[in-house]
Amino acid sequence: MIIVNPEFHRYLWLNFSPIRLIVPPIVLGLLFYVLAAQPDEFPWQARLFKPALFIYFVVMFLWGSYEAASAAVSDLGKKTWDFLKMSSLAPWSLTIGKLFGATSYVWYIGLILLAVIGLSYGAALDTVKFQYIREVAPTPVNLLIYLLLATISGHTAALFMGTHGLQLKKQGIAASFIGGFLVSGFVFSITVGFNLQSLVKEPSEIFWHTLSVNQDVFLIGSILFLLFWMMVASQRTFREELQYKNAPIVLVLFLATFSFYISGYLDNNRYYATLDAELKLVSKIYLSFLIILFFTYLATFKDATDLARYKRWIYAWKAREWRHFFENTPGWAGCVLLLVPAYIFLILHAGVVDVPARIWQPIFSFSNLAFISALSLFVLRDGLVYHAVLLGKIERHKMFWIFLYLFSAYILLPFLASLGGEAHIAAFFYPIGDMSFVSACLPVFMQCFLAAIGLGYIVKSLRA
Amino acid sequence: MSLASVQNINFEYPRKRVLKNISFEIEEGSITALVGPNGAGKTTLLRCMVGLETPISGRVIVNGIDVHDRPRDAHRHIGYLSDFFGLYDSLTVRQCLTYMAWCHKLPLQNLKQKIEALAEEVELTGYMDQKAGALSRGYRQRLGVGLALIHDPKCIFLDEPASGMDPEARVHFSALMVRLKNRGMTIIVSSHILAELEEYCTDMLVIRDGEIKSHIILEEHRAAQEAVLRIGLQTTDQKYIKIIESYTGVSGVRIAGHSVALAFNGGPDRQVTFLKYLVGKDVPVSEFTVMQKSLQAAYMELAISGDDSGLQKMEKAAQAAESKAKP
Repeated sequence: MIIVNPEFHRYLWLNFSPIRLIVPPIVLGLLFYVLAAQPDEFPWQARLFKPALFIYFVVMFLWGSYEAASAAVSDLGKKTWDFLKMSSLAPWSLTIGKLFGATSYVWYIGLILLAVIGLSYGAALDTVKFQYIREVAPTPVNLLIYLLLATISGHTAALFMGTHGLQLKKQGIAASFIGGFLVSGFVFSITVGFNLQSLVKEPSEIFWHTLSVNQDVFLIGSILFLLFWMMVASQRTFREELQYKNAPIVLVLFLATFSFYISGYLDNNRYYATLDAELKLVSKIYLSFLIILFFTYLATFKDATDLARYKRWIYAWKAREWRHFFENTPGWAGCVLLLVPAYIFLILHAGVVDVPARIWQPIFSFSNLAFISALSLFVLRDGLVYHAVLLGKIERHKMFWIFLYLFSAYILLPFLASLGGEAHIAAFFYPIGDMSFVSACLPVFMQCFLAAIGLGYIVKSLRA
Repeated sequence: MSLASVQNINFEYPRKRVLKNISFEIEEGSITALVGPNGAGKTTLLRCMVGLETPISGRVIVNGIDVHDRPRDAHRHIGYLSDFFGLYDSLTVRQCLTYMAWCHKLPLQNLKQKIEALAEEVELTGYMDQKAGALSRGYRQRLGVGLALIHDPKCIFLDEPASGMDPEARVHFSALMVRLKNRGMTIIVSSHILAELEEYCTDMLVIRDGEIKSHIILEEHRAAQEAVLRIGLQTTDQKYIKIIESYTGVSGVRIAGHSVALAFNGGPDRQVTFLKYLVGKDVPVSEFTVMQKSLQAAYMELAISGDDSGLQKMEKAAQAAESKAKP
């Protein structure tokens, strides 16, 4: 017996009984036979196209997303997770096994439907009704590739979101199931969909960094790129669950490639083309900085929930165990590794960065050093507060206190301040780009200082 | 020779330290009972030892491998069965065992024979084609142990393995433990059913409030323990009582009807000598019973005392045995 992947094989055992093997071809065969037998002006093959596509959406996008979302947490519910954690199963095996094993039965039905879609494509597109599909998917292969990509993307997204449930030891799958379904729908919409594709596929050539790429190739490449990182993210979560240590090296790699990927789009902007080479480079670094800062914010929030990791980090530091220290390094520290050189680069090119916003206006609303410095300090302030709240002694309703803080800091206090009509104190509440460096940064710097004192107090009490 | 070594383990749940600087060694081939009240940290300690939880500091070395540094390597030598484990209910027993063998990347040649042999070991031979979900509690437990043993680990960690079993299943389970012990497997088992542990355990680790209060080698402990003797007499004449009381090592004599209960400091040899002495002195002995303190009684003594004096007593006894053993 050939064993490709134990987890995949287990799902084959579970999903494929003789009856379950026989039912889909019989039911679908009967359905399509009835549809083909209906009297219609179009050839019988054309009548199968739309129903097959619709059933494919329901089966693959809905049912498939549900199965993929369940796969991540199913072992928690069955209390079999410890057996897997104690085994030699590799994280990639587990990821691939769950992704394609849990959805194997759905794929079985889906492949029958894909065959019907592929065979009925030609006849359907000869009719007036479906001619517009030819514009976005000129051959059945194009259509099948887009459908496969949409399906795998949705399933991977559902699995990835489900792995967070695994980490939180929560078995609910509603969010990951809906998320997976939405991703499938979105990918389908931007590839073969009839509304969004025009937004994505204009112009026909995409300028990315220095390359000019065919829009279809670029779209498929972009989906594969994001799909790859979603799979890696799922694998990293499984890896962590299987007792491997996840040093933030992969996060750094993701941020580097993701910010490179996104900043490449600037070449597609007609205003960008008018900038000189130095300003082009600076604007790409500037955009990358903002992207990395956003992920730093997310990482800070996640890291603040893991007190044990901080303790292991500190113990490793004290014991001079550098490998353990590196393995337990929180994610935000990895992000900072990229932020610092990018920020230094921007300081060194301050003259270019602070070019009046009119040049930048089409690309960024804010464009100067004061803005990104203030923004970074706001991220720092919120990060310190999250750590103080989540690591502190508040036992219950922590998310409520976080929400209250965000509401107060970004809505309530600015509103109360605005009643006094003092517009110049806006820098206390938001990162502002159109003022001097000191005016933009000093208020939030003071807040960071206070938040740091608060966190210091919390850390002291934890030590006690 | 030490197979597992726990070194200065500290573990915390948010704002609660569950394990406090725990260190001990597990000898190869031993069966160690991990006992303590609910919430003492038994399950957490076992999970830390097998690498399912990561302590904030400290190390666990099993068969020379740091469990938290190289968990996957360590897991090749470790089997673990948690207290509330689940099975793949829709798979047959054979499929469950085969799947786990694949997960452990066991060589495919002779896998079928290996699985059959394991099924025989855990007494599941007749149930191989039955769905796991249809098994009774006792058989589920056997399958659980089978899954933990599939990769021939050097040591196996069992968390409350006998809980919820009926008496017959417990007897079978004890027999399985004895078989594994005879095979030379090192076993660490947490349980509340001390009477059963007594049948096969060689060591006892007492844990309370996240600290190891005592590590007792049971054989030495039993040898060092003061035996309680019950001597039946045909007549309880005072002169006979005096003869008994005057013997070296006798203390705490209590008379109840025609029986005399006393604490006797001495092993089986001295007990024989004592009986010979009594017969030689024409004491009308009708019964001579050694009432050894059970593991349960010893543990209960600790639990009831509420402080560590009982534990200290046990430790002293163990130390005395140790010093006796030294040349």
